[in-house]
Formats: sequence, C-alpha cells, structure tokens
Amino acid sequence: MKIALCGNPNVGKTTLFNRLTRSDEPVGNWHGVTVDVRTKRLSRDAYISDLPGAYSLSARTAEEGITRDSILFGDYDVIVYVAEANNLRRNLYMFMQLAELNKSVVLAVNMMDEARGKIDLSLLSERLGVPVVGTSVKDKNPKAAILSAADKALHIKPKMPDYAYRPEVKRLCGGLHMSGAMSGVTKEFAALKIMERDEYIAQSVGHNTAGCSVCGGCDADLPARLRYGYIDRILSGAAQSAGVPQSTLKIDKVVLGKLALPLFLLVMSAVFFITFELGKPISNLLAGLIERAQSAVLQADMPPWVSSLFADGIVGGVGAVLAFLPQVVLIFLLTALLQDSGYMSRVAFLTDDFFKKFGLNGRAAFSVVLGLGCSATAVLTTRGISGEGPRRRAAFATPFCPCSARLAVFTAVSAYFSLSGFAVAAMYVLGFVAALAVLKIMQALSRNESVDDELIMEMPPYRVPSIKRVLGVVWHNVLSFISRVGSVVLFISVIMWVLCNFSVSDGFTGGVENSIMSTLCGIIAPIFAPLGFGSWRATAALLSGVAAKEAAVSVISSLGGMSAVFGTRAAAGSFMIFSCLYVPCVATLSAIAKENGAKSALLSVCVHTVAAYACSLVYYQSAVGYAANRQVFFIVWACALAAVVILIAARIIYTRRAKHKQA
Amino acid sequence: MTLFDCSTGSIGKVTEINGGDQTRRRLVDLGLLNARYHVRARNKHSVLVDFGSASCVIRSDVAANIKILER
Repeated sequence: MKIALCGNPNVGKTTLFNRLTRSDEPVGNWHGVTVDVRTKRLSRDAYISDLPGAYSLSARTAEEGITRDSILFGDYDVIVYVAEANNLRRNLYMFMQLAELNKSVVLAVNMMDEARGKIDLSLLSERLGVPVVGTSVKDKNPKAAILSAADKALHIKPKMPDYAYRPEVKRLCGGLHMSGAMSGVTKEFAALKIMERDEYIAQSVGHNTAGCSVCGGCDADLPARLRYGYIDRILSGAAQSAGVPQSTLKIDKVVLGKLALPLFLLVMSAVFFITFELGKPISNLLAGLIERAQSAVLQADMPPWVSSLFADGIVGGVGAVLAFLPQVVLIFLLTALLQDSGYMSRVAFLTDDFFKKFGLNGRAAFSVVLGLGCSATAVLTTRGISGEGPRRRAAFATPFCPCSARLAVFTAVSAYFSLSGFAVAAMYVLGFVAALAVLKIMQALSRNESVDDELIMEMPPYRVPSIKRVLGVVWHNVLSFISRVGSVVLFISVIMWVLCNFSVSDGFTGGVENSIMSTLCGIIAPIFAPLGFGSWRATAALLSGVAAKEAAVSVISSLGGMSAVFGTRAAAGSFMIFSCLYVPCVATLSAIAKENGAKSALLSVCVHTVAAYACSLVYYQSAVGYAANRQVFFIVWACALAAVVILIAARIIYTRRAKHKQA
Repeated sequence: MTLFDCSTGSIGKVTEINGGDQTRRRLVDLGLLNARYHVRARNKHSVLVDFGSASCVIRSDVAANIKILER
C-alpha cells in the first residue's frame, strides 16, 4: 500500500511523518520546511510519502506543483490528509478537492491537544464519508490508527460534495474527455478547476477557457464559494471555531511592538553569546581528551607510519573538527527552540522591510538563520521562498553567511593567535555584509522584478517548544555534522596525511617538507603570498576546505599546527577572512547547482574566490602597511573612505533627483 | 477603503478582492472573501492580520487589493 501524506503548510505533516516512520526529517513551526517528496517504509507492506504543503491543487509555487502532480498522477493508494484542529475550515478546502477527485482519503486532525474548541471526529467522518483520526504529539504513536484507517479508506471513497452535481458543473463535465495522464482525474474536479480558470488543468484536458461558453461565462469565485459553503455545513455542530490564542496576542504585542528590533537583536546576541562563550569550556575539555588520545596512540608499540596515521591523520584530523561539536550542538539547539516557539515567523515579518531592500523577502530570514548551521541545507530551504528571482538570489548569496563548519576554522585560528571573540564576530559581520553586497548587485542587475510572489504568510501561534521536536531537530543536524566528520573529514584527513607524509621517491618520510603535498601546493602557493599566507601548508588547508570547511582545521593540525602554517597574527587574520568568503564546500555547490543550475554554481565559485581574495588582500596589505608606516596607512584609508563617501553622496543625490523628476 | 489603509487594531470585514487573476484566485481559495479581519501589526511592506482562527502576513500591494468595511 502506498500512502501520501499531504495538507496545508505548517499543519505538522513532517512531525507526523517522523513519528509514523521513526525518522528525523527536519521540521519547523513555519511553512515550507518540506520542499521535496520523502518516502519511508511504514510497515511490512506500506510505504508513506511526505509531500510539501499546499493550500490548493491549483499550484502557485514549485512545492505546490510537486504536491499537485503527486496527487493527480502519482500511484498512491491512499492519501492521509493532515488538517490542523484549530484551522479546520481553511484546511478542509484542499480536502474538498481530494473528494472531488474521488481519491481514497483518511483525514488526520492534527494538534488535537492544542484544539481550542470541541471537535466531534465521528460526526466529521460520517459527514465526509472518510475515516477520521485525531492525532497529537502528546498521545501515543498514531501509526496503528493511521494504518487501520488507511486500510478502511482503501475500500471506500469520500462522498462527492453536493456542489459537484450542480447544473453548471455537470454541463461543463459533459464536454470533457479525460484521456492520457488525465484519465485518472474525475470530470467533476476538472470542471471545477476550469471554472476557477486553472490554466494547467484546462490545458491538460485540452479545454480552451478563453472561448468557453458552456457554463454561460464562468464565475471564477463560484467553486471557492461552493466549497466553503459545503465546509461550513460539514463543520456546523462538528467543530467549534476558535480565534487566535490570547497568549499569542499578548506576546505579539511586545514582540511586534515598539521593542521589536531591540528584542530581536537581544535574542540574536544571546544565541551567539551562549553558543560561543558557554560552548568554549566544553570544547576545550574535548580538545584535551583528543590530545590525550593522540599521545596514547603515539606511545603504542606500532610501526612509525601506522602510529602517525592514527595519531595525526585520524585522531588528530577528525578530533580537531569534533572539538567544535559543543558549539554546533548549542547553535542548533537554540535555533530549533526559536523555530519551534514560533518566534522565527515573527522574525520573517520583522525583517521583511530589511530584506526587501536587497531584493528578497522576509522568508529569506529562515534560510539565513539556517545558514548559520549549514549552508547546503540553507540553500535547499530557499526553495520555500516565493518568486523565482528572490529564490535564485537567496540560494546564491546564502553561502556567504558563515556556517558552523567555518565557525570551527574561525574559533581554532582566533583561539591560537589570541584574537578576541570580536574577531569571530567580525567574520560573521563580514559574511553578512558580503552577502548583502552580492544581493544588492544582483538586484541592480534584475530591475523591475517582483521581490515577493507570496501573497500570504501564515503566522503560527506561539507554543511552548516541544523537547522531543527540538531534540529531534538537533539530533538530525548533529548526526549530519558527525557523519560528515566520520566520512568526508576522515577521508580528507587520511588523504592529506598520505600526501603530507609520503614522497614519490622516498615513500614514507614522516615529515611534510619533501612530501607530495608540499610539491603540489608549492606551485599554487605564490598566488596567496600577497595575502600573507603564501605557504604550501596554508594552501593545502584551503584546498581541503573546499571538500568540507571544517577539514581545514584538521589539515592545519596534521601539518604541524597554527604556528607552522601562519607566521603572524596578520596572516592568520587574513586566512580567516579568506576562509569566511572563499568557495563554498562541495555539498553547498551541489545544492546551488541543484537549485539554480550548474552555471550559477560555477559563477558562485568565481564570485566567492574574487570576494575572498579582494578582502584578504585589503586586510593584509593594510595590516602590513599599518605596521610599516602609520602615516601613509591613514592617508591611504582616509582617501579611500572619502572616495566611498563621495560615491554614496552622488548616488543619493542622483536617486533623489530621479525621484523628483518622476514626481 | 483597503486593508492596506487600516491602522493597527482595525477590525471589520473583507468585502471585495481585486488584483490579478492568480492573486484573486489564491486569496479567494484561502477563504478571505467576506472574512472578518483584525489588523494586529504593520510595517512598510506588509500587514499582520487575523482572519478568524489564523494570523497571516499580507504584503502591502496585495493588501491594497483587498477592500474592507471597517467596523
């Protein structure tokens, strides 16, 4: 039996999917978290697919298109339609379209524990003619109930809504011929969609809406009015309607009021403080344990190359990255708490005006915050941003925001060279500024394009974060981080160890000076000389970072540590800047290629490299210049700043004059 | 008067939805026609409105196409 799980966005489909399949797909208290179809085994002979959220089978976004096509043309035996207990009226709108399609459906009324009014599930089941199951996170796993209901639904079809028998619908049905891919679609559904002027369905059944006079000139709003009228009759006496919770209204008065911006900045500062300051002691403890393990391996009675492989290549390389696990756990935990509470949706509203200035919309805030964890994931979530242009721009620019892997590089370098926490914070500022600059340029290149195709963004009510849900999200992300450490980082560490400890002529050398790596990177290294880290060691670390950013730390560790790789603090700072901005990791590049195409991924490589090189060059040369001759340094910077100020002033004057002329 | 003209705290009923075909279609699909509203917050580009049991953020150009009758 093949089951499809669908429903409106943000009704808890993925949470239910995770519970049913005991999986840990990412969830969030906002819509658009699921952007693709995921299928898992439910029982010995049943599979379930989690479809992206949709409001209607008339698709407006790419996600809704996936859901529509899966329902219309997929070979699912049963559809489990998830509706939110407090929003049944709107949620049942898409359900009605499934009934029009005469699909075998189970209605799962989710979040029953949060229901603000009484819901009579058996009366609903009787009126709709489908099995109805109540679900909530507080109850036991509804797997058995869902499977039993799906089994029942296989043998019954929902009641065709009475409005499908109206003369204007029937008249239109008479002229339709369902063939090919549309043969599984009912005439009633197609007729109602044609009345709504759904071009996709009309074209699929070869109906010309422009010249249609069958129903005497369709009233495009009629199907919606009929559906809502029918839903109101179904819900009458079966479900009490309830308004937005009082607690949400009270909290929003503060969160969205005059204190909105200071509160937002306070929350973000707290997230960063907790992550970096509280995570540091645990991180140091972990680093100490790894060092002990390394020395224990070195003392073991083994051939020199074996002990070197285990101590430097495996324990040293992987351990250097694992030491940052506490920070990674903390940032995922805090962002998951904010997401689950419903605050992140308010952030989208609050930041909407800001992002609009850069050609995006408030929903980009989700991707940016997620980008602090993993750029590849963030790029994939940009699919939830409405509008092709903003979506592409967000996917392109998000990797500039430093991810947790880059945090590992910043923390390691800044800790060794006693660069303060401000240095790490400065890297975040630099990443965001670079992202905004790139967005601004892209916006200028795509003028007159709408930055927001989304009409409405649902604002979920506040709720106490569910420990289970939050830990599930943290676990999912931490597991992904660890699996990368155990696979990509381990692989790179071993490869780098081989390249660093073997030479073509002498075999195992136990040193790096005459190794294969020193020869290879020595050829490229001079390019980085103007940036202050023109050594082959630093080049090797950068190259390994393309596979996985955090791998740079392990490579530095296996190449003799920070002091051997960077000579000065200025060089270390320049390396941090370069690491912050240069080419995204392979996983992120593949995500960009998936979302925007290979050309965009290639362009991303070029833009990141140029930006990184330019910023590092300016920083390092300024630092060197400051040390050599402070007067010349200040004169050069004063001239540069004056030029920038003049350019900005000229731009403002030009814009004002243009506006004045237009007026 | 449109939803975009409303100030925070405004309460009333949606009477008409204008705009492009697709925009109208989706807003009608969402059950906004004849729905009661309550403006909870607003910024330059969007309005946060309660429609019965759910809260939604509506961007300003869309809100400007939603005609309302303030209570």
